[in-house]
Parts: sequence; structure tokens; C-alpha cells
Amino acid sequence: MIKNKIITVLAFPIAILVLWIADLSIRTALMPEVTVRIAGYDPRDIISGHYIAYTIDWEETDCTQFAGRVCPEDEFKNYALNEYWGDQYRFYIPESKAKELDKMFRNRRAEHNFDIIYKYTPGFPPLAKELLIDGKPWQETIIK
Amino acid sequence: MRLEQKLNLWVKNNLIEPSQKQQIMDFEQNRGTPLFFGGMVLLGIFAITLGVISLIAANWEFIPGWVKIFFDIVLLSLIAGGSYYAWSKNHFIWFEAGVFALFMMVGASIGLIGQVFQTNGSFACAGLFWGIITAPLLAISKRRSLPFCWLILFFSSLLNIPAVEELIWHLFNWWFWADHPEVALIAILVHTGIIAACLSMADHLSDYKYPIFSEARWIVYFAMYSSLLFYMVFAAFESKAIYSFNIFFISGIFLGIMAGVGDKLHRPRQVKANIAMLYIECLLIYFRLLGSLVTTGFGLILSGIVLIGGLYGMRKIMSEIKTDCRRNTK
Repeated sequence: MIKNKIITVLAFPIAILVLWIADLSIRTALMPEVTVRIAGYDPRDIISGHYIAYTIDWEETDCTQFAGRVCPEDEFKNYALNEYWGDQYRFYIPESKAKELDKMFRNRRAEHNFDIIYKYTPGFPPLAKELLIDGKPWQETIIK
Repeated sequence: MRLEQKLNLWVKNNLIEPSQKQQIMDFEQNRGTPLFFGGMVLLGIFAITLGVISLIAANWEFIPGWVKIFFDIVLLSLIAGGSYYAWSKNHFIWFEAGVFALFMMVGASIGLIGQVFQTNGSFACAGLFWGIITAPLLAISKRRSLPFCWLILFFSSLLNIPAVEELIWHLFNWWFWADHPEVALIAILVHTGIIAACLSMADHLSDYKYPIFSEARWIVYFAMYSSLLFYMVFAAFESKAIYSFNIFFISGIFLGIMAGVGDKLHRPRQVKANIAMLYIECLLIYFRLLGSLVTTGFGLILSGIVLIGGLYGMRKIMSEIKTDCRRNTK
């Protein structure tokens, strides 16, 4: 009896994490992609590391890619983090490139366009997939 | 009082024989719970897992996300398997170390999954999720480190939720800036007292099997006494004498009752701690000067006389009642 209790308790958090990973993997694989224009900067999360905190610029986003050719601003807002300075989204980036990306994002925003590709279906939380700088994955721009 | 001092006192008063004293001392020495070793192992696990969290947070771009996730799950399974193995072989220190490592690594895994899948969550969400899915581990851990870290994680995550933070802020504002700060002090003492009593009851009903209850009670006591100290200092600087008087009066009565309860329940540390707080209160009253130097001086002298006289009188009445009871039973 105690043996079963110990095994169940030890396996429980791992099972939950595996289920969560499976859910996220399925959603990432099945949901269609949409691209939105962004603006923001780079702070750090305690457990997931550096990220770019951004807001979505709906004025500059191509709304024809969404159902009914309408940008789902309200639905995206539901999944934003409400910080004191407004709604915010996060894109996690490697520590080694954080400084460079931060500099680019803060100081050279006028020279470049920043977009995020999302996996998105109405009714589900959108999942950020890729950060684009001038239409290319950020890794390509940073290496240049 | 240390065990040896206590045993010497008992031998001196012919309660036990010197041979019995030696037997008890030998037993306690051989029982030797490896507190230091166990504590250091858990501290080591804490440092290692924090290091792992930091490495994961660095977000190594050249390792594909699925590889990170795969190795993370393998590592979690190895820790869980190792903990079970340690439990089955009765290596309880290593079992506790494994359970604690599993708790910490679940947090690291949540960070990793959030990073790989860009889940866009706040610390409050991640922390609450971490706390909820590791809550069953509290049922199998007997050491205090896990409940302590779990409580800190859970409540810091809860207080990080903007709506909860706002509610606490409103309550604090209402309590503190209310027209009567003494009402706020009573409210805090009553609420924390009820919570501490419920936790004591839960601890008792569960046969003291789960250290989470006693650990939570200590945190509540910490909140209770730090609030009390805060209000006492506030009273020392408050311009309205009536507020200061009321706060000093309420805290004095409360500390006196708590010291008395500690005495009745044979808890010397509780008695000493509350009396120490009363010393601080006397000093703060002296600094505050309720009226002039003369009135404060007379007030403090009178309080001391009433305190000593009252206690002396009460002890005398109690001993007379006890003597009467003994006579009646004979």
C-alpha cells in the first residue's frame, strides 16, 4: 500500500509534465501560422531565462491572414500578461544573444521590422513560434 | 534547558537514579539522528538544482528543444526512480534528498517547457502550477526543507497574481489607514490566531505526520509577531496619544496572555519570546512618552507594580485553591 503511494506520488508530477508537453506539441503541430508586428525590450524571467517583452502592433499587422479578415485583438489580449505599463507578451531567447537582440530591439527599431510567427487557432492560447527580423528568422540577422 | 542539565536536576531532586540518567544519556547519544548530514545533503541538492535551473534559463540555442525536453524527462524519471530505490532500501536521507531534488527539478522543467514552447506565462502562473503538481510530495516527505520551500513558492506565486496583490493592498490600506489602527491590530491578531489554531488542529488530527502544518504555523506566527512589532513601533511614533495607548495596551495584554499560555503548556521558549517582546514594548512606551516624562515614569512604575503584585496575588490565590481542593478530596 505504502509502496503504491510512494510510486504514485513520485510519478505524478512527471506524468503531468509529460501530458502538458504532449498537449503543447500537438497544438504546435496542428495550429496554422499567423505573423504579427511587434515592439518591446529584453528582461529576464526567474525560471525560463531571458526574453523579449513586446506588445503587438495591430496597426502594422496584416489582418487578411485571420478568419473574416479581422485581427483578433481581444482574444490575444486575453492571453497577455497585464503589467503596470500595459499588456505584454514574451519570446524567450538564448542568454548568449540576449544583449545583441536587446540593443537591436531598443535602439534600431526604426531601421528594422520585428515580427512574431504564432501558431494560432481561435479558442486556444496562441503559441509564439519564431521571431523574425526584416522577414527572416532572428538567428540569420544576428549572425550577419 | 539542555538534556544533561535537566537530568542533573531530576537526579538532585531524587526523581531518577544516577544510573537511569546515564542510561538515558547513552540512549540519546546512540539514537543520534544525523541532522547535520541530512541538512547539508538537502542544502547541496538545493544548490545543484538551482544551478540546473540557471543552466536551463541560459537557453542553449545549439541544442534542439526536443533534445532538451527528452533529457529533462529522463532526468526527472531517474530522480524519481532513485528516490524510490532509496526508500525501498531504507536510506531515508537519500530518499528525502531525491524528493527534494524532484520538487526543484519540476520547477526547472516548467521553465524549460515554457522556453521551448514559448508559453508566455508569468512567474505567478508557473509558480502556482509548480506548487500544485508537487503538492503530493508533501505527503511523503518528513523533513522540513520541502514544506518550507513549497510554502514560500506557493504564497509568493499567489501574491504575485495581480488581483490578489491588489486585494491585499486594499486590505492593508484599509486596516492601516483606517481611523482606528488598534482595530487593524486586533483584526490581524484574530485572523492569524485563527489560522494558527486551524493549522495546530490539522497537525494534531494528522498525528503530526506532515511537517507542512507545523512549518505553515511558524510562518503564520512570524507574520503575527512581525505585524505586532510593526504596530508597536508605529505606536511609538504616532502623534495621537490615544492610538498609541490603545496599541500598547492591546499588544501588552496579548503578549501577557501568550506568555501565560506558554507557561501552562510547558513551552519555555514561548514564555521567553513573549516576555522579550514585552521588554521591547516597555522601551517603546518610554520613547513614546505618553504625556510628559513624569506621567510616563509614574505610568511605567505603576504598571510594574501592578504586574508583579497581580501575578504574586494570583499565584497565592491559585495555591490556596489547590490546597483547599486537596483538603476536600482527603
